[in-house]
Amino acid sequence: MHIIKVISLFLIAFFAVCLQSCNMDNVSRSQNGLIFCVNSNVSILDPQSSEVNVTSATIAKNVFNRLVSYNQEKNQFKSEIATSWSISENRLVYTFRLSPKVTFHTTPWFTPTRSLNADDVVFSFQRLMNYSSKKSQNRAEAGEQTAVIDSEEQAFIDEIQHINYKYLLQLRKIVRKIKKIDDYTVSFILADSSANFLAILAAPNSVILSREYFESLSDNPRREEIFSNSIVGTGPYQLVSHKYNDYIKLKKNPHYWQDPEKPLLSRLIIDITPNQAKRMNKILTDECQIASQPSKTVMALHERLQKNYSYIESQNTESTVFYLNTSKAPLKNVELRRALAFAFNRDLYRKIIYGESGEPANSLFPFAMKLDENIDYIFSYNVTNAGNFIDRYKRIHKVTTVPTLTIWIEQSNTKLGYNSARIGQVIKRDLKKIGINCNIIEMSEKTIKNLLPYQGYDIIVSQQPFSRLLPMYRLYHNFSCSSRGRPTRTNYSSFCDKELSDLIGSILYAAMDDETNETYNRIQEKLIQNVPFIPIAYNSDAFIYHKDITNLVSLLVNGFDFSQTGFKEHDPEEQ
Amino acid sequence: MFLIILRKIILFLCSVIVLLGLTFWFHVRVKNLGDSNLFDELMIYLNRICSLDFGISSESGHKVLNEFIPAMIASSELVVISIVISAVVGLLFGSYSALHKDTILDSMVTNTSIFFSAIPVFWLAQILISVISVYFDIIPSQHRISPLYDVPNVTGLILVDTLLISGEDNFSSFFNALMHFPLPVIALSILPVTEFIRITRNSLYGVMQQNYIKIAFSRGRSPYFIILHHAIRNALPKIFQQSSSIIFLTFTSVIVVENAFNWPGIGMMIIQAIKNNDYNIVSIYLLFVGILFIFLNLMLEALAEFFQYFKSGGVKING
Repeated sequence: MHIIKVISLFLIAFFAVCLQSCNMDNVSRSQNGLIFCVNSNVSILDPQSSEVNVTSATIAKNVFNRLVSYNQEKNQFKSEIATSWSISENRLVYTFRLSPKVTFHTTPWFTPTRSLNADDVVFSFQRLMNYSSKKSQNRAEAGEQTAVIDSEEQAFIDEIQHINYKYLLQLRKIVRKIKKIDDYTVSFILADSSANFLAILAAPNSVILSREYFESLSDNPRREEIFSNSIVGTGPYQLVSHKYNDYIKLKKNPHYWQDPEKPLLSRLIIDITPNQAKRMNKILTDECQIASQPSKTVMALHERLQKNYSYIESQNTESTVFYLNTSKAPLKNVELRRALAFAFNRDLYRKIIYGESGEPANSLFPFAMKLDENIDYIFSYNVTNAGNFIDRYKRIHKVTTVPTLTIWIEQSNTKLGYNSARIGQVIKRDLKKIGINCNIIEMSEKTIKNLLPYQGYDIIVSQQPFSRLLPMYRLYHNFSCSSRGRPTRTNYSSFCDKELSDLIGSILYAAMDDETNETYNRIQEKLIQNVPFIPIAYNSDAFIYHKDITNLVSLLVNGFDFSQTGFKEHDPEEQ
Repeated sequence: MFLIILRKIILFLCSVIVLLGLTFWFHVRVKNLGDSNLFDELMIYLNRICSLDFGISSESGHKVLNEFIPAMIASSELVVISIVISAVVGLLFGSYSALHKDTILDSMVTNTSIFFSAIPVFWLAQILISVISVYFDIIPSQHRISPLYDVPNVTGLILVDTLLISGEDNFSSFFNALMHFPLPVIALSILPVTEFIRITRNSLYGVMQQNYIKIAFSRGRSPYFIILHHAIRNALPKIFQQSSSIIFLTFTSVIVVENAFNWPGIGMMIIQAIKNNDYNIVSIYLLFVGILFIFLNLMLEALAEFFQYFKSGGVKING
């Protein structure tokens, strides 16, 4: 008994000391760090080849620098690595002067011996473009320091901020040659005088990598993997460690060239939590200070969330779409496709897929501006119409039943609140109402892309990002003839209409104005006539963050710029 | 004696062969055989296993063994702590229950333990998180330690590694790691506690009916001394034998508990691997955990037999 009393007293004393000394609420303040909970995983940290999501955008913005950056408030480009630039008169040659004091991170796996120079810039872009150079003329003339953007470029800049590496491959079309003039001067020679080259360079993904680091790995057989995962950049934060599908730890770069006093935070952790409920739990227990895609019901339940956290919406929009296989019977027939388009109750689907947030897609381009808004979306929910179309199909083709449709549903728990299991049940019920049977198969996006050439499907249910201001990129990848059968496998509808492809191609890089408006209307008409896809609902991304965090700059594409971020100092008297 | 050991070793080897066969079947299923026939594949595979090359995970691209060992150490930390705690608590309550058998207190203990054994682990884990961590906001629930701390990976055991940090961060990171333990340990050890109570109660009650205990009582020794020195010591072999099933139970509940608490152990690893169709990790899990289970089972049985053997002075009992 005596020894039991002693042991229990000791344990009580131990736990009392424990509870005293570890004050769980202030871990992030005491360590001067921030935890950012995201739901999307990256397989490679290198921004040039990783996926487009919050995590990769945040890493690209905070660990690396670009040549120029875009200041949203002042609406102009400002210099980052390039201190000044000049544009030739014919707008074909851009010459950049680089700052000589840009240094790379010193990490346990790489120590730089020199600062950044033109070799690194040329290396980074060549890595993207990877083509052989041609001889060309080079005319550089003095120009302005900063360029004020006019409205023509504005839309394109907003669109470019959504850009991802696949679009950066268009660099190959725009840029003809990159030339190093001397150690701190680089010039780009373009193939056509598009006014939007600066916007491409300001995109989060146009980062400058270290050529010295790449060459120091020259005799390592796993060179590409190490270079892409143990990243070295020039930005305010540097990589500490990365656990796949778990977290990415960044710490303050002590020798940040742009501003030695910044960043204020000593640690920045990106915590990958695909489950929304767990993310909300982490916010409630202060294990996360910023979270992506919060749940509105949880926010309504807890008062301390409403009191201490702010909510912002980003511009990133994802849209759930049914792609109909137009090259295979029975959906080869336009009548049947039109019938299907009447059969789905979009509001119900929106509730199932996105919960309380999101909106039903009641028109073809839900978020395009400047379109002729008189065109009512003719495919509203109307079961009788659907039934009539199907009866007509049966009469014309002299069949008694429509063959069973095979439906593939893309399964993903990283997309915005997407619930693939429920969608299958509801589709089956809706199709049964008009007398069509179906087979539902759930599979991951990778599997869909692998099995796409075998054409074993009739409908694919998928969630795709739709750019707010320029839907042309998505249309190009989904419906143009040239994207059919390509290695990227994005043409889920196997749709090829020559006129539509030409129309899309003609305004692919153009900005939104009155001339293109006419083309948009024709494209919209063609799509309504042919119904290669049925848009269902769309949703925007959102974040919540603690009110004590100051200077959190949100990027137009997902992610945040943490270079100025810090904590608000609390008065000791106020709570 | 020798025969017993030999039987156990042969049993162990047979199970290892079966497990290797299973993992080889996994391996062959996804691989394109091409020109080589099955036997050559088998030889190559066994060679690889002998040189401890278990392949590369298809999801992350790293070597499977390098991912498996830290996860195994992290899981075993959790499992060992929870088994020790549950053994201590179970022994205490079980012996109390056995000594006061058929009284109200005894029925209270047994009924409570039955009630707790009916609670599913996944529900219990979520309730603990929602109530203690979110509602009352006492202790955190996710991960082993707050990610803001940098912990050197010396042993793999978080409680040891945080003490090895030099600097001011030392104690705060240790207490942070310690604070992440109670919830998963409680979730994991509720079921073993009930099992230990039941086993101890039966075993101890059986021992207390023996003649030598009654003789010791009649000689006037204090009850505490008798229980501690004679009764529990004799009850232990039987408890050992049955505790192997408890260890297996814990290893299977650890999968659910780790996923609920985001603990970076083999539970999380295997669930991710199944979701991602990562066959190499699944086969190494099968191999190691299967071997571990069989090994533990045979070891504990052998231990019990050793106790029996030496207690009876080296005389073979019942072959």
